[in-house]
Amino acid sequence: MQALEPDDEVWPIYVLVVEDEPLLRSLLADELRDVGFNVVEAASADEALAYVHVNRNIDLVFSDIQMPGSLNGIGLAASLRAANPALPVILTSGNVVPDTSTDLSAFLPKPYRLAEAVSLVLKTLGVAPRAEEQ
Amino acid sequence: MDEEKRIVLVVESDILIRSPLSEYLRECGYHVLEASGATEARQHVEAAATSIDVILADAAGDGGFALASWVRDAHPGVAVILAGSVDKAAEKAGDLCEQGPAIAKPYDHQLVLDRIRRMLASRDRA
Repeated sequence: MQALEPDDEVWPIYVLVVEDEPLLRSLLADELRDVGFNVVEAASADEALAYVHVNRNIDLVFSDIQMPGSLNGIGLAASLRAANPALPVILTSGNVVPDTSTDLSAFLPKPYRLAEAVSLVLKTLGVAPRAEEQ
Repeated sequence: MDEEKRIVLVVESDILIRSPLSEYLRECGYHVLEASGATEARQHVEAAATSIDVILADAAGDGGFALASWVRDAHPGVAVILAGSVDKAAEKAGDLCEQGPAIAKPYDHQLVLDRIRRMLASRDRA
């Protein structure tokens, strides 16, 4: 695997975690904060869109697929990528596997280990954990 | 230093309010959990691994008063701060919270921090 060096010029990096299960969301968000990311927590796709509409500083979105609200994770990914095709989007689900037409960076099946999710986020962004957070 | 171990649960349905307030409290050294409503808040409180010190909840939001009442009965060791933008909320919050009326919204982050610090200090002295 390609060796990645911490690059202070790319930080801070903002990750938006979209998950309707609060305990899982909180655990993943904390794990991502531990490696140096600034994490925004959204409980639904609607919340995520409300945040992104006002704050355009998100560098990656990690979203569950099945969530209450007007959009699921696939709809959220489509909406976000329509506005910003370069935005990395990782989707996760225990029941739904997105088809090949879904525009996303990666899919992580549930259940997943937190370290696995963090590793996928780092790999997708092409960064190593922030040096001072080690 | 103790603040680093303190856990604050922020219950607020508006992500544009909840997220910056939570981030501010993290920068102040607290471990912050976020809930978008009372149902999520209950899951956090009931999680065995979680030991929440303070709950800051929007009184006018999704079941804020009911959440405060439930916490008061089921988890009396958890301090509750209610926030609200209506007079009724402030009046009712006075009965449910330990330190006077609710914090008015929109949130003044420094005021929230001061209230949390005072509440925790008061508990530490007790």
